[in-house]
Amino acid sequence: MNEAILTRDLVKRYGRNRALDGFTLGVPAYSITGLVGRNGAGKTTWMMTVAGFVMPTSGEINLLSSGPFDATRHSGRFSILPQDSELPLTACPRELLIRYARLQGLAVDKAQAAADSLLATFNLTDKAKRPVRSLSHGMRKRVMVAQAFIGDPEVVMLDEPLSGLDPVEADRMRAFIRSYRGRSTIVISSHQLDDIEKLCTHVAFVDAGKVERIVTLSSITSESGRIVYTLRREPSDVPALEAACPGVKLGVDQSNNPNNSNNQTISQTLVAEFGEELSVEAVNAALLPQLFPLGVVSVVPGRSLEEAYLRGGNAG
Amino acid sequence: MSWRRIWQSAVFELFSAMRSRRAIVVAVLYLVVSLLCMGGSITLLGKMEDQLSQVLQVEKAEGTKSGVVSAALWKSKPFQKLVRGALKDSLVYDDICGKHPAELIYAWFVLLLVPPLTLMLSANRAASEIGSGSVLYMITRVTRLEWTLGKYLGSALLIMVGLLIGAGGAWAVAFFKLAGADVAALFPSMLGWSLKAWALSLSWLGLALGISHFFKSGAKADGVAWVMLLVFAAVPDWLRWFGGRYAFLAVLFPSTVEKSLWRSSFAPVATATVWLLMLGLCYLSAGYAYFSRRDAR
Repeated sequence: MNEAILTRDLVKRYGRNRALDGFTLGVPAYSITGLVGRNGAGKTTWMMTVAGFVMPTSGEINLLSSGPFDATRHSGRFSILPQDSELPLTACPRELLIRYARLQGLAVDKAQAAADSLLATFNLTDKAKRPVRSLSHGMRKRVMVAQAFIGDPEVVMLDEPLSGLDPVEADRMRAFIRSYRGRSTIVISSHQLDDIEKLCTHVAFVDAGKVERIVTLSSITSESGRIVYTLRREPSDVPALEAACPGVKLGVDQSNNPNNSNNQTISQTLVAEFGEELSVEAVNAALLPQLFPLGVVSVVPGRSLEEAYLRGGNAG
Repeated sequence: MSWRRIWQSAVFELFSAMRSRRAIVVAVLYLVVSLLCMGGSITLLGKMEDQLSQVLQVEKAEGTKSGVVSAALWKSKPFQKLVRGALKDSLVYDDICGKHPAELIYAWFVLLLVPPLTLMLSANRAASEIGSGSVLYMITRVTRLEWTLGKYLGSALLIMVGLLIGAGGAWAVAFFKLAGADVAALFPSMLGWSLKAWALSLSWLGLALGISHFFKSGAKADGVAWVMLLVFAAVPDWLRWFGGRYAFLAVLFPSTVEKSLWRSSFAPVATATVWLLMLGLCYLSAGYAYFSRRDAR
């Protein structure tokens, strides 16, 4: 099985509006795939459609090589953290997780063990017997994520899993999700590109109800092709620097400079872009001697996901 | 479809009812309604008997409790003729003739009140879960059909418990307020009427949950359910009087079948129970058919 989820030409219409407009995406098995796109691009609708919550107008869905979602086939093998969906407010997290596990077919002892393990992982053991309505937003979110992982499903979809979490819990959550790398197929939708970058192996760029492209994260943030130098002073003669290193195109990027307000420039960002024929080491060897007099603060090879996304014209 | 998953869904529904204290509300409601109706009816019966003894200029023995005159009346031929005429059903008359007034009072109010109580407690069950999105956590684990049937089964069990508790309360009131040592022996009969009322509730529960599947707001589902209660009360009579060749359609309404529950023999009660269950499942399936084809979010 190469693709855990495969959708072809998926269309979902709400009146005249096409929430999905030929959404074709294959999610590689055992990958952690991030969905990136503007509000209304179709990420959540696609997840809801794959989960069987939303009926597609047309198109094909193949989940775990056994057709569209059907609880008789996929219960316990597929789960989702849906967006804006409340847990039963009067239930306690532990009971809730055990009941959900029982619905998936787990025996009582295994369901209890799985629930206790997840509650401990998400730092909720002391809240296990308190009703959901008494929990804070972040705690509820952790229970919601925990229910998605109960029974170790093969495919897990997470819609904004880290929103509303404090930095410590968000970090714990990232580590937990990363621990599933290679064990389950995980799809994450998030506007926090930093989180996608930290967690995902693949990224699908979504816009206007379609997937523009799906690529590996390393192909975006790979070390080849780009180096960002942070300097104390602005280089006065950029063409001369380019001449010292043929094949490299240099640009001064003031948008990345956090200290450029009120024209009081403390540092400058110089971006070097080059083709596959040049290596990072070769470019550094040629450029760094020229840049040292300007005061090199940092040298960061590669491109962030955010930069790649914004360059792709998806900024909204 | 898996029976195990349906049962687990029913257990989930019961568990939710207990956690949300809805189970307690159901039990208390049935108990309070039983106590009030039984107490009120017996008081009314006592007043009627007092007036009757005054009109007939018959001295009622000192300390006599309510029910003595009514029990004696059953033995009067003119009274029997009167009741037979009022019922317009000699089979039902034969079955209830001579029964203790307390039993008949309980049977009357429990069958009368079960439809509105069932609608009041169940009509928002599915709608509120669909509206809040908590249904999504269920339907990735069970099919929508299993969720619907589990909800029906869980709610039916909850109503049964409520009715049995109500029967106990009503019997206790009857025991303390009515005359005759035979009142103590009425408990099994009252439990029997509770079970008959439960059979009636199966159809109304199907209607309540069926309606609930059409909405994403519990309040809207409640409102529509109350309107449907009025419609379902009026339409069978209308069909019987003005339906002409369509009068037979009255059997599609629970109130038409309800009369068979007044019988004592097994066959008509069992037939009525099966029919009421089928009606309930039909109403429920209409709601499910809509829900199964719509977006859950």
